[in-house]
Amino acid sequence: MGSAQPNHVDHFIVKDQTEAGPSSITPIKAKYRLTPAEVTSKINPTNKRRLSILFSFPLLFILAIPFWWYTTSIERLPLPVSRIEALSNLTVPTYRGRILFTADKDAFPTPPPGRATFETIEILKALGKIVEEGVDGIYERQRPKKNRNWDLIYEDQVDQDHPKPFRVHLRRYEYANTSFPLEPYVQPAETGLMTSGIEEGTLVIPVHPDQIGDRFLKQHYKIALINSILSLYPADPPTIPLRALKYSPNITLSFVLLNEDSSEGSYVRSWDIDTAVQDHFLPQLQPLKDIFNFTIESQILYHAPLTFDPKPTESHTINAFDNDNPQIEAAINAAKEGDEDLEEVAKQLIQVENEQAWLVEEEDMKIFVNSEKWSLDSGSTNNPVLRFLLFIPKEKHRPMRLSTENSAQSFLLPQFGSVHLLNPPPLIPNDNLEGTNEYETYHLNSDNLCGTFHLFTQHLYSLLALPKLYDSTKINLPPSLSQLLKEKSEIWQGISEWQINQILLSRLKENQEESIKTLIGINKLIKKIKEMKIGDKVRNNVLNAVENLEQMSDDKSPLENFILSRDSVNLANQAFFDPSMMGLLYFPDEHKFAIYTPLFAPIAVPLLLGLLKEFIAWKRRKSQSKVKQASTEEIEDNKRETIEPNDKQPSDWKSNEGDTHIINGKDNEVLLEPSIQNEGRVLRSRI
Amino acid sequence: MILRYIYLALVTLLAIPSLCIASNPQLDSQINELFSNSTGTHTNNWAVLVCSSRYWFNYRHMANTLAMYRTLKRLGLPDSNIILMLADDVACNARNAFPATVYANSGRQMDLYGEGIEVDYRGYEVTVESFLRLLTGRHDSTIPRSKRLLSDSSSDVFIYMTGHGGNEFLKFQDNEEVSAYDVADAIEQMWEKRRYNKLLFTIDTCQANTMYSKFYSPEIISTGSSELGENSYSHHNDMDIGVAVIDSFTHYILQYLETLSKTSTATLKEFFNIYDPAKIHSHPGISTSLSSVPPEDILVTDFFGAVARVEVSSKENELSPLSSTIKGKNKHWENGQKLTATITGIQTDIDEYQQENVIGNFNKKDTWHNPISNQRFETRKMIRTLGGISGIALFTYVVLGKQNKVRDA
Repeated sequence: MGSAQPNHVDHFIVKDQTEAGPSSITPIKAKYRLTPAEVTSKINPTNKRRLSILFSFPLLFILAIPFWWYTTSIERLPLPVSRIEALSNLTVPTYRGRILFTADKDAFPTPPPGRATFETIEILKALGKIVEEGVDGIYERQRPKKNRNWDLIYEDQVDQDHPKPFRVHLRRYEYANTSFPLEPYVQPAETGLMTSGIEEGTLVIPVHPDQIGDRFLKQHYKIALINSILSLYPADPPTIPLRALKYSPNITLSFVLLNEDSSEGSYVRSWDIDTAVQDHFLPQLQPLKDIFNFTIESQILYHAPLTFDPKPTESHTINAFDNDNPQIEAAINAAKEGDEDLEEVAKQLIQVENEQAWLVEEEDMKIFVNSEKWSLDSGSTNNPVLRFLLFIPKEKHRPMRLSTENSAQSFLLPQFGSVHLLNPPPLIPNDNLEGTNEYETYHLNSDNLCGTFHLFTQHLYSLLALPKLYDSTKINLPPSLSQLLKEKSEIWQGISEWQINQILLSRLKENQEESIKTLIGINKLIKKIKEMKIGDKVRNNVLNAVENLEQMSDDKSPLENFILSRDSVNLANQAFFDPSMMGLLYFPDEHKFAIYTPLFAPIAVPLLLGLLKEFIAWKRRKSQSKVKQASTEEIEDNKRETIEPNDKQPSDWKSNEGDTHIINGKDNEVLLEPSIQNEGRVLRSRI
Repeated sequence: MILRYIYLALVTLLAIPSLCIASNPQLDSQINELFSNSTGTHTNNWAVLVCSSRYWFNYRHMANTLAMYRTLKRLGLPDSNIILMLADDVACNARNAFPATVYANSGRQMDLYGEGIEVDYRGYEVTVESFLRLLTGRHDSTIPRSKRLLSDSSSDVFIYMTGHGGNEFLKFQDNEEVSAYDVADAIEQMWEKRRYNKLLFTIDTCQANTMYSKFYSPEIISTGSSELGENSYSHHNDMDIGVAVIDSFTHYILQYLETLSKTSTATLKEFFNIYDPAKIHSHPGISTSLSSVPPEDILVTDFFGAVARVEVSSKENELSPLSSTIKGKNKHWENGQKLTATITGIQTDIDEYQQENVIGNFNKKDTWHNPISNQRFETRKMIRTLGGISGIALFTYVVLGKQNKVRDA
């Protein structure tokens, strides 16, 4: 290529000289050879155009800045900062509960003849006043001071505007305890013909007909009422212990029957889980429907190996009268009274106690759940799961027991679930099977599962932080109608509205705190991390969460407030965990330079150099025009001679190209001046 | 003047005990609460183990992470609470002379890979974004539980990272890098949402100590393998594997942890005391300034191992055998019903059916067949050979014909 160029130029010159070339290649119809300076001025655009070309690049950058700004800026919509900050002063709404106080007509002694008789409602109002004053007195003395957050109302004050009040009822009841103190209970659901007509969930203070004539009956009523109401309607909502689950509207309960190794025979093949859940769990879960949404799943695992080896015990004999197992004691005592069935039970218990067993140490309990090998839940949701595991050890490890003294064969894992060890009884001698059935299998019916689910229900209470209804001295079990139905368990009764109220209040408090914390956290983070994006969705969620919190008020019922708090915490969490909220990565300034330099450095070099050159040329022009001006005044005669050849040429150009641009003689002169001085350099640099 | 100051100091000194005496139960409860919060009532432990490099020559990083994983599991941390991020491309690497194994020592005593490895983020899933999303919890709603760090205010979180890094950054799979600022911000976000009670950050990489230098959230204890400007070196090679198998810092940590049991009462201070710059060939760093609890009061098992407090139910909670709910009912266990199924219209016992109709019978006489694609390949080959032969025949025929023609001419 290097050699081709000069040839071409030569050719061009030759053509010019001989005038033999076609007219197409000779826009320059010059009949003389062009000087390099003339070529320069011819092929270089004019000064203005050169400048406009030069400045178009910076202009482009300037025009592009808004786009660059828009595409690289982080969307940060404003959040209601002041409203969020005001949330920290928010208090838990205190709803003033209403307790309807009623009584059977004959629950009070009839006044002796001659004395004024009062309506029941009058007596109740008087009694109610004493109770309220008594409670106020108790709260007054407590530190920190508490306030009574309920009022007693009477039948004439019942209206439809308010939600259904709680109920307290004084009942004359022939099955009640005949001795003082009175034993208040909460009315369970009743079925059948023999109903008392008392609504389910009413706090009942039973009084035996014999007691009605007692001199201190009023005092007893007062004590029973104050104790029971204080227990059922505490001033502060109960705190949620660490072992309980954090609030989540959806909870999965997973019931798993684990056979340690069914391939070794003697395993549980089926269980009546449907009935067991119906009988034991649904009465507890049904009333919670406003608070939790439960999903229940169950499965049987046939191979659930342990990660540790249970240790065998030395067989030892326990003296039947010298041990601390309360069950054996109770059974022996009962047997002494002449219950033959119980004698057998006691024998069995002692036998179980003496058996050689495989022990699960406390350390082993921590790693008992082998979540690596056992698939405990379907994992179909991201909701928290509570797992209730019924473990059947393999035949070799039977009977398996926990090593802790005097404990149930069950333990609870905080926030996780619970485990119950169940040892199948020794093989049932069965003639039909003729002893050939090597693989003995069992079916667990609902009766067999009673004990297990009794424990599971209690674990459910602790894992969900449900308050217990029965309080040894304050709230008792309902008196049983007959001796046969004695010894009911404490969780036999479903959850009452009193407990629901407590759960609502404590969960409301938890949610409100969590929501406020999260919102304030978002607020703080946004201030701290400048790269964090706040999109439309996040902003809406935050706004709605704040709004929900602000809507909570003392006038609304606990359920309404709870729903507001639940939605608020949900929205706040959604905002916090929004995938778009991920703070964009931090780039140190060097990184930014590293990104932009390869892009802009190659463009910037010729641009800057061009600008510099133009600037130098402009400076030179300026200085030379000054020199020229000075010289023109001095030598006016010579002026024409120097300009004339230059004057001709541009006019030639003009006519040939049809360029309407009028070239200023002076400018032209100035432009040509340096090229005359140093032709080669100018040519090279400007092409 | 001096006397006056002394007097003031005396007064304040005297005032302190009198204030203590005057404390009321409310204050006491507040103080208790304060202390119980700070010393940490934690119910669960979580661990995030990150190996940020891939490729065969980074064998040691994967071995580091897997060895740490094994140790945590040995100390009782369940798999569900370990988030393992691993490129996982060495065990089945073509260059691995011992396929499907990973060793962290030259003698190859213990295969770290083996059974029961649950890698949560594998291969190209190990990115800066997934790591930061894991910490902050900002996942897409479709991400399963196993890939989420579901810790809360009662969790102690242990973060272990290893890979190649530099001043204030750690490289992820030769592709991108996470900066110390990013990690610090992510941890701050965890703190704001109370996603940890205490956090132990451990990193083994070059210039590792710079990685935790930007942390500003409370309750963090961090430790790294080397100072700014210092490299972190591997411990030793295995001649048969052909690459370094473990890094020094991790090697000595693991060596120490190996001496602990689940019930160990060793504290973090003892743990930090094993650092020996001469052995590790770099200066490990420890930063406890952000933690309100000094390392001598924190157990190693608070981070390494499961706390899983167990609450054993008492006998009273059990349903009494005397209780009416059980009494008089069928206490005996029934025999399990044979499972039946209706197969071709007849009620059949499943066990017998399965014994009779064994599915998937393996006949030893049968040899392995070639895959179908192989057979097709054979036919194609045959067609090609035939084509080739016929081509040659045609060519010779034409040539011979020409020669004949020439001869004829």
